[in-house]
Amino acid sequence: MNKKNKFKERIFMVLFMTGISAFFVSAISVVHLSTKETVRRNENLFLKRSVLYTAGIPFEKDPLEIEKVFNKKVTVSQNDGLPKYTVHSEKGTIKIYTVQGKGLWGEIIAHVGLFKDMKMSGISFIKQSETPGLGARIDEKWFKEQFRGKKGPFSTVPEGSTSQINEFDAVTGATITTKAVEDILNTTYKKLSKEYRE
Amino acid sequence: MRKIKKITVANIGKNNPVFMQILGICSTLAVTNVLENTVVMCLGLIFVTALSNTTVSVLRKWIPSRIRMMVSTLIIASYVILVDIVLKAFVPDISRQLGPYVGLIITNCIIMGRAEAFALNNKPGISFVDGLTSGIGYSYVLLAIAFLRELMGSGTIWGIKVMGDWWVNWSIMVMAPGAFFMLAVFIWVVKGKLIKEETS
Repeated sequence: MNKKNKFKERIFMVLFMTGISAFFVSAISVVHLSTKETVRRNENLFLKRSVLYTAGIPFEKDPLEIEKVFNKKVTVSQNDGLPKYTVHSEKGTIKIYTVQGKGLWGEIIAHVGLFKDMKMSGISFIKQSETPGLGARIDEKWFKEQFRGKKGPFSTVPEGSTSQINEFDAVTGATITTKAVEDILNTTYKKLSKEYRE
Repeated sequence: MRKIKKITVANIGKNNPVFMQILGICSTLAVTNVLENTVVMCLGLIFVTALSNTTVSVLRKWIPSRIRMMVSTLIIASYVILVDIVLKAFVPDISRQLGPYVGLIITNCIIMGRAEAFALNNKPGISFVDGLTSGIGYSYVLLAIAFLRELMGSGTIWGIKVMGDWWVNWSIMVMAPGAFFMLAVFIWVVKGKLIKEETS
Protein backbone atom coordinates (compact mmCIF):
# COMPACT_ATOMS: atom_id res chain seq x y z
CA MET A 1 0.00 0.00 0.00
CA ASN A 2 2.79 2.36 0.98
CA LYS A 3 4.64 1.65 -2.22
CA LYS A 4 1.56 2.40 -4.22
CA ASN A 5 1.14 5.76 -2.48
CA LYS A 6 4.70 6.72 -3.23
CA PHE A 7 4.17 5.85 -6.87
CA LYS A 8 1.03 7.96 -6.94
CA GLU A 9 2.88 10.86 -5.39
CA ARG A 10 5.58 10.69 -8.03
CA ILE A 11 3.13 10.54 -10.87
CA PHE A 12 1.36 13.55 -9.42
CA MET A 13 4.66 15.41 -9.20
CA VAL A 14 5.44 14.81 -12.87
CA LEU A 15 1.92 15.65 -13.96
CA PHE A 16 1.87 18.80 -11.84
CA MET A 17 5.17 20.05 -13.27
CA THR A 18 4.13 19.23 -16.82
CA GLY A 19 0.77 20.91 -16.38
CA ILE A 20 2.08 24.06 -14.78
CA SER A 21 4.89 24.35 -17.35
CA ALA A 22 2.39 23.99 -20.18
CA PHE A 23 0.20 26.64 -18.62
CA PHE A 24 2.93 29.24 -18.13
CA VAL A 25 4.62 28.55 -21.44
CA SER A 26 1.36 29.00 -23.33
CA ALA A 27 0.60 32.19 -21.43
CA ILE A 28 4.00 33.62 -22.33
CA SER A 29 3.63 32.44 -25.93
CA VAL A 30 0.34 34.26 -26.27
CA VAL A 31 1.93 37.50 -25.03
CA HIS A 32 4.95 36.96 -27.26
CA LEU A 33 2.89 36.31 -30.38
CA SER A 34 0.60 39.24 -29.76
CA THR A 35 3.52 41.67 -29.39
CA LYS A 36 5.81 40.10 -31.99
CA GLU A 37 4.69 42.46 -34.72
CA THR A 38 5.22 45.55 -32.51
CA VAL A 39 8.67 44.39 -31.45
CA ARG A 40 9.69 43.74 -35.05
CA ARG A 41 8.34 47.11 -36.13
CA ASN A 42 10.24 48.82 -33.30
CA GLU A 43 13.47 47.16 -34.38
CA ASN A 44 12.96 48.11 -38.02
CA LEU A 45 12.16 51.66 -37.09
CA PHE A 46 15.27 51.81 -34.92
CA LEU A 47 17.46 50.72 -37.85
CA LYS A 48 15.84 53.19 -40.21
CA ARG A 49 16.28 56.03 -37.72
CA SER A 50 19.90 55.02 -37.32
CA VAL A 51 20.51 55.05 -41.08
CA LEU A 52 18.93 58.47 -41.51
CA TYR A 53 20.89 59.84 -38.55
CA THR A 54 24.14 58.47 -39.99
CA ALA A 55 23.41 60.09 -43.34
CA GLY A 56 22.75 63.38 -41.56
CA ILE A 57 19.19 63.61 -42.86
CA PRO A 58 16.87 65.33 -40.38
CA PHE A 59 13.63 63.49 -39.64
CA GLU A 60 10.49 63.87 -37.55
CA LYS A 61 9.62 61.63 -34.62
CA ASP A 62 6.52 60.26 -36.30
CA PRO A 63 7.08 56.64 -37.46
CA LEU A 64 5.12 57.10 -40.70
CA GLU A 65 7.18 60.15 -41.56
CA ILE A 66 10.43 58.24 -40.99
CA GLU A 67 9.14 55.42 -43.16
CA LYS A 68 8.34 57.88 -45.95
CA VAL A 69 11.71 59.64 -45.89
CA PHE A 70 13.54 56.32 -45.71
CA ASN A 71 11.68 54.79 -48.64
CA LYS A 72 12.25 57.88 -50.76
CA LYS A 73 15.97 58.25 -50.21
CA VAL A 74 17.41 54.88 -49.28
CA THR A 75 18.01 51.63 -51.13
CA VAL A 76 19.17 48.54 -49.27
CA SER A 77 21.66 45.97 -50.56
CA GLN A 78 24.04 43.41 -49.09
CA ASN A 79 27.75 43.71 -48.39
CA ASP A 80 29.62 40.69 -46.96
CA GLY A 81 26.34 39.38 -45.62
CA LEU A 82 25.57 42.62 -43.79
CA PRO A 83 23.07 45.22 -44.93
CA LYS A 84 24.45 48.18 -46.85
CA TYR A 85 22.38 51.27 -47.48
CA THR A 86 22.75 53.72 -50.34
CA VAL A 87 21.35 57.12 -49.47
CA HIS A 88 20.67 59.78 -52.07
CA SER A 89 20.95 63.05 -50.20
CA GLU A 90 21.38 66.64 -51.36
CA LYS A 91 25.05 66.48 -50.47
CA GLY A 92 25.66 63.52 -52.76
CA THR A 93 25.43 59.76 -52.58
CA ILE A 94 26.24 58.27 -49.20
CA LYS A 95 27.00 54.60 -48.65
CA ILE A 96 26.24 53.32 -45.19
CA TYR A 97 27.98 50.17 -44.05
CA THR A 98 27.11 47.96 -41.13
CA VAL A 99 30.38 47.32 -39.33
CA GLN A 100 31.22 45.41 -36.18
CA GLY A 101 34.05 44.90 -33.74
CA LYS A 102 34.93 43.91 -30.23
CA GLY A 103 34.20 46.31 -27.38
CA LEU A 104 35.02 46.00 -23.69
CA TRP A 105 32.09 43.77 -22.69
CA GLY A 106 30.72 42.67 -26.00
CA GLU A 107 30.22 43.31 -29.65
CA ILE A 108 29.86 46.83 -30.99
CA ILE A 109 27.84 47.16 -34.18
CA ALA A 110 27.61 50.49 -35.94
CA HIS A 111 26.38 52.20 -39.07
CA VAL A 112 29.16 54.14 -40.76
CA GLY A 113 28.28 56.47 -43.63
CA LEU A 114 30.80 57.51 -46.27
CA PHE A 115 30.62 60.07 -49.08
CA LYS A 116 32.29 59.41 -52.42
CA ASP A 117 35.53 61.06 -51.26
CA MET A 118 35.52 58.76 -48.18
CA LYS A 119 34.65 61.58 -45.82
CA MET A 120 32.26 60.39 -43.14
CA SER A 121 28.66 61.49 -43.18
CA GLY A 122 28.21 60.21 -39.65
CA ILE A 123 28.18 57.24 -37.33
CA SER A 124 25.50 55.57 -35.25
CA PHE A 125 25.79 52.66 -32.85
CA ILE A 126 23.11 50.02 -33.21
CA LYS A 127 24.46 47.63 -30.64
CA GLN A 128 26.86 48.18 -27.78
CA SER A 129 27.08 46.91 -24.23
CA GLU A 130 29.81 49.18 -22.88
CA THR A 131 29.93 50.39 -19.28
CA PRO A 132 27.02 52.77 -18.65
CA GLY A 133 28.33 56.23 -17.77
CA LEU A 134 31.76 55.51 -19.26
CA GLY A 135 32.10 53.56 -22.52
CA ALA A 136 28.40 53.81 -23.25
CA ARG A 137 28.93 57.53 -23.74
CA ILE A 138 29.96 56.72 -27.32
CA ASP A 139 26.22 56.64 -27.93
CA GLU A 140 25.87 60.26 -26.82
CA LYS A 141 25.40 63.04 -29.32
CA TRP A 142 28.65 64.93 -28.71
CA PHE A 143 30.64 61.82 -29.54
CA LYS A 144 28.75 60.84 -32.68
CA GLU A 145 28.41 64.36 -34.08
CA GLN A 146 32.18 64.92 -34.16
CA PHE A 147 32.58 62.40 -36.98
CA ARG A 148 30.59 64.31 -39.57
CA GLY A 149 32.91 65.41 -42.40
CA LYS A 150 35.93 63.63 -40.99
CA LYS A 151 38.13 61.19 -42.86
CA GLY A 152 40.10 58.22 -41.56
CA PRO A 153 42.32 56.42 -40.78
CA PHE A 154 41.89 57.98 -37.36
CA SER A 155 43.93 58.65 -34.29
CA THR A 156 42.45 59.74 -30.97
CA VAL A 157 43.07 62.82 -28.85
CA PRO A 158 41.94 63.62 -25.28
CA GLU A 159 38.28 64.51 -24.83
CA GLY A 160 37.44 67.99 -26.06
CA SER A 161 40.59 68.74 -28.03
CA THR A 162 39.96 67.42 -31.55
CA SER A 163 41.05 69.78 -34.34
CA GLN A 164 42.29 67.74 -37.32
CA ILE A 165 40.23 65.97 -39.96
CA ASN A 166 41.69 62.59 -39.00
CA GLU A 167 41.31 62.89 -35.23
CA PHE A 168 38.48 62.24 -32.85
CA ASP A 169 37.86 62.90 -29.16
CA ALA A 170 38.43 59.91 -26.92
CA VAL A 171 35.97 59.18 -24.12
CA THR A 172 37.62 59.93 -20.78
CA GLY A 173 37.77 56.83 -18.59
CA ALA A 174 36.91 54.51 -21.46
CA THR A 175 40.22 53.77 -23.13
CA ILE A 176 39.29 50.32 -24.35
CA THR A 177 35.97 51.41 -25.82
CA THR A 178 37.60 54.34 -27.59
CA LYS A 179 40.25 52.03 -28.99
CA ALA A 180 37.51 49.66 -30.14
CA VAL A 181 35.76 52.43 -32.07
CA GLU A 182 39.07 53.52 -33.56
CA ASP A 183 39.83 49.94 -34.63
CA ILE A 184 36.41 49.45 -36.16
CA LEU A 185 36.70 52.64 -38.20
CA ASN A 186 40.27 52.05 -39.30
CA THR A 187 39.56 48.47 -40.39
CA THR A 188 36.59 49.74 -42.35
CA TYR A 189 38.74 52.34 -44.07
CA LYS A 190 41.42 49.79 -44.84
CA LYS A 191 38.90 47.35 -46.28
CA LEU A 192 37.13 49.93 -48.39
CA SER A 193 40.04 52.03 -49.61
CA LYS A 194 40.59 49.80 -52.63
CA GLU A 195 36.95 49.84 -53.60
CA TYR A 196 36.85 53.63 -53.41
CA ARG A 197 40.07 54.18 -55.37
CA GLU A 198 38.68 52.45 -58.40
CA MET B 1 -4.07 45.09 9.15
CA ARG B 2 -1.53 44.91 11.97
CA LYS B 3 0.19 42.11 10.15
CA ILE B 4 0.49 44.18 6.99
CA LYS B 5 2.05 47.02 8.92
CA LYS B 6 4.43 44.69 10.68
CA ILE B 7 5.60 43.12 7.43
CA THR B 8 6.01 46.48 5.75
CA VAL B 9 8.09 47.90 8.55
CA ALA B 10 10.21 44.76 8.71
CA ASN B 11 10.88 44.63 4.97
CA ILE B 12 11.82 48.27 4.78
CA GLY B 13 13.84 48.42 7.98
CA LYS B 14 14.98 45.60 10.24
CA ASN B 15 14.57 42.82 7.70
CA ASN B 16 15.55 44.80 4.60
CA PRO B 17 16.61 42.42 1.84
CA VAL B 18 19.65 44.44 0.78
CA PHE B 19 21.33 45.78 3.89
CA MET B 20 20.12 43.25 6.46
CA GLN B 21 19.82 40.01 4.50
CA ILE B 22 22.50 41.02 1.94
CA LEU B 23 20.43 39.61 -0.93
CA GLY B 24 20.21 40.91 -4.48
CA ILE B 25 23.72 42.33 -4.31
CA CYS B 26 24.55 41.37 -7.89
CA SER B 27 21.99 43.74 -9.36
CA THR B 28 22.74 46.35 -6.71
CA LEU B 29 26.28 46.47 -8.04
CA ALA B 30 25.40 46.18 -11.71
CA VAL B 31 22.63 48.67 -12.42
CA THR B 32 23.16 51.48 -9.96
CA ASN B 33 25.54 53.64 -11.99
CA VAL B 34 22.76 55.41 -13.87
CA LEU B 35 19.55 56.41 -12.12
CA GLU B 36 17.25 55.75 -15.07
CA ASN B 37 18.25 52.10 -15.44
CA THR B 38 17.89 51.64 -11.70
CA VAL B 39 14.32 52.89 -11.72
CA VAL B 40 13.28 50.48 -14.47
CA MET B 41 15.09 47.64 -12.72
CA CYS B 42 13.33 48.43 -9.43
CA LEU B 43 9.90 48.62 -11.04
CA GLY B 44 10.56 45.29 -12.75
CA LEU B 45 11.65 43.71 -9.50
CA ILE B 46 8.69 45.02 -7.50
CA PHE B 47 6.31 43.70 -10.15
CA VAL B 48 7.96 40.29 -10.25
CA THR B 49 8.30 39.78 -6.47
CA ALA B 50 4.73 40.85 -5.80
CA LEU B 51 3.16 38.69 -8.49
CA SER B 52 5.37 35.63 -8.11
CA ASN B 53 4.77 35.70 -4.37
CA THR B 54 1.02 35.85 -4.95
CA THR B 55 1.08 33.05 -7.53
CA VAL B 56 3.23 30.76 -5.41
CA SER B 57 0.94 31.43 -2.48
CA VAL B 58 -2.20 30.62 -4.49
CA LEU B 59 -0.68 27.33 -5.58
CA ARG B 60 0.97 26.53 -2.24
CA LYS B 61 -1.48 23.79 -1.27
CA TRP B 62 -0.93 21.84 -4.48
CA ILE B 63 2.78 22.31 -5.05
CA PRO B 64 4.54 19.05 -4.06
CA SER B 65 7.21 20.09 -1.58
CA ARG B 66 9.96 18.17 -3.35
CA ILE B 67 9.65 20.19 -6.53
CA ARG B 68 8.69 23.54 -4.99
CA MET B 69 11.91 25.22 -6.14
CA MET B 70 11.34 24.18 -9.74
CA VAL B 71 7.81 25.51 -9.62
CA SER B 72 8.89 28.81 -8.08
CA THR B 73 11.62 29.26 -10.67
CA LEU B 74 9.16 28.57 -13.46
CA ILE B 75 6.71 31.13 -12.10
CA ILE B 76 9.42 33.76 -11.55
CA ALA B 77 10.92 33.19 -14.99
CA SER B 78 7.53 33.58 -16.63
CA TYR B 79 6.94 36.95 -15.02
CA VAL B 80 10.43 38.15 -15.89
CA ILE B 81 9.99 37.18 -19.54
CA LEU B 82 6.68 39.01 -19.46
CA VAL B 83 8.40 42.17 -18.22
CA ASP B 84 11.08 41.80 -20.88
CA ILE B 85 8.54 41.42 -23.69
CA VAL B 86 6.47 44.36 -22.50
CA LEU B 87 9.54 46.61 -22.30
CA LYS B 88 10.66 45.54 -25.77
CA ALA B 89 7.27 46.23 -27.27
CA PHE B 90 6.35 49.48 -25.58
CA VAL B 91 9.54 51.23 -24.43
CA PRO B 92 12.15 49.88 -26.88
CA ASP B 93 14.73 52.55 -26.05
CA ILE B 94 14.84 51.71 -22.35
CA SER B 95 14.81 48.01 -23.15
CA ARG B 96 17.84 48.51 -25.37
CA GLN B 97 19.68 50.37 -22.64
CA LEU B 98 18.97 47.79 -19.97
CA GLY B 99 20.12 44.99 -22.24
CA PRO B 100 20.63 41.79 -20.28
CA TYR B 101 19.73 43.25 -16.89
CA VAL B 102 16.02 42.54 -17.17
CA GLY B 103 16.62 38.85 -17.76
CA LEU B 104 18.87 38.87 -14.73
CA ILE B 105 15.93 39.69 -12.45
CA ILE B 106 15.37 35.91 -12.49
CA THR B 107 18.60 35.41 -10.61
CA ASN B 108 17.73 37.94 -7.92
CA CYS B 109 17.75 35.94 -4.67
CA ILE B 110 15.19 38.23 -3.06
CA ILE B 111 12.40 36.85 -5.22
CA MET B 112 13.25 33.22 -4.61
CA GLY B 113 13.90 33.99 -0.95
CA ARG B 114 10.47 35.53 -0.42
CA ALA B 115 8.71 32.75 -2.32
CA GLU B 116 10.48 30.12 -0.27
CA ALA B 117 10.37 31.81 3.13
CA PHE B 118 7.02 33.54 2.98
CA ALA B 119 4.67 32.71 0.12
CA LEU B 120 4.75 28.94 0.65
CA ASN B 121 3.34 29.34 4.18
CA ASN B 122 1.02 32.32 3.89
CA LYS B 123 -2.19 33.42 2.23
CA PRO B 124 -2.12 35.16 -1.18
CA GLY B 125 -3.14 38.63 0.02
CA ILE B 126 -0.49 38.93 2.66
CA SER B 127 2.09 37.33 0.33
CA PHE B 128 1.38 40.03 -2.22
CA VAL B 129 2.04 42.69 0.43
CA ASP B 130 5.21 40.92 1.47
CA GLY B 131 6.49 40.77 -2.12
CA LEU B 132 5.57 44.36 -2.75
CA THR B 133 7.26 45.71 0.38
CA SER B 134 10.36 43.54 -0.14
CA GLY B 135 10.61 45.06 -3.59
CA ILE B 136 10.21 48.54 -2.17
CA GLY B 137 12.79 47.84 0.52
CA TYR B 138 15.21 46.78 -2.21
CA SER B 139 14.33 49.71 -4.43
CA TYR B 140 14.91 52.60 -2.09
CA VAL B 141 18.36 51.32 -1.18
CA LEU B 142 19.23 50.98 -4.87
CA LEU B 143 17.87 54.40 -5.71
CA ALA B 144 19.87 56.02 -2.92
CA ILE B 145 23.05 54.35 -4.13
CA ALA B 146 22.33 55.12 -7.78
CA PHE B 147 21.62 58.75 -6.97
CA LEU B 148 25.00 59.20 -5.28
CA ARG B 149 26.91 57.17 -7.86
CA GLU B 150 25.50 59.03 -10.83
CA LEU B 151 26.01 62.36 -9.10
CA MET B 152 29.63 61.70 -8.18
CA GLY B 153 30.56 59.60 -11.20
CA SER B 154 29.00 61.60 -14.01
CA GLY B 155 27.98 64.85 -12.33
CA THR B 156 24.43 64.29 -13.57
CA ILE B 157 21.05 63.23 -12.21
CA TRP B 158 18.70 61.47 -14.59
CA GLY B 159 21.09 62.47 -17.39
CA ILE B 160 20.78 66.18 -16.57
CA LYS B 161 23.94 67.99 -15.62
CA VAL B 162 23.73 69.35 -12.08
CA MET B 163 27.34 69.76 -11.08
CA GLY B 164 29.19 72.82 -12.40
CA ASP B 165 32.37 72.84 -14.45
CA TRP B 166 34.48 72.79 -11.29
CA TRP B 167 33.37 69.23 -10.62
CA VAL B 168 35.76 66.46 -11.66
CA ASN B 169 33.94 63.18 -12.25
CA TRP B 170 34.96 60.29 -10.08
CA SER B 171 35.18 57.67 -12.80
CA ILE B 172 35.52 54.90 -10.25
CA MET B 173 31.98 55.63 -9.05
CA VAL B 174 30.39 54.43 -12.27
CA MET B 175 32.52 51.30 -12.41
CA ALA B 176 31.90 48.18 -10.33
CA PRO B 177 34.33 49.04 -7.49
CA GLY B 178 32.41 52.26 -6.83
CA ALA B 179 29.31 50.19 -6.14
CA PHE B 180 31.16 48.09 -3.59
CA PHE B 181 32.32 51.21 -1.78
CA MET B 182 28.91 52.86 -1.82
CA LEU B 183 27.10 49.74 -0.68
CA ALA B 184 29.60 49.12 2.10
CA VAL B 185 29.31 52.70 3.32
CA PHE B 186 25.53 52.45 3.14
CA ILE B 187 25.42 49.25 5.18
CA TRP B 188 27.90 50.69 7.65
CA VAL B 189 25.89 53.85 8.19
CA VAL B 190 22.56 52.07 8.46
CA LYS B 191 23.70 49.26 10.68
CA GLY B 192 26.02 51.32 12.82
CA LYS B 193 23.94 54.43 13.33
CA LEU B 194 20.30 53.93 12.49
CA ILE B 195 19.43 50.44 13.56
CA LYS B 196 20.65 49.60 17.01
CA GLU B 197 21.57 45.96 17.29
CA GLU B 198 19.83 44.16 20.09
CA THR B 199 22.37 44.02 22.88
CA SER B 200 22.82 40.55 24.17
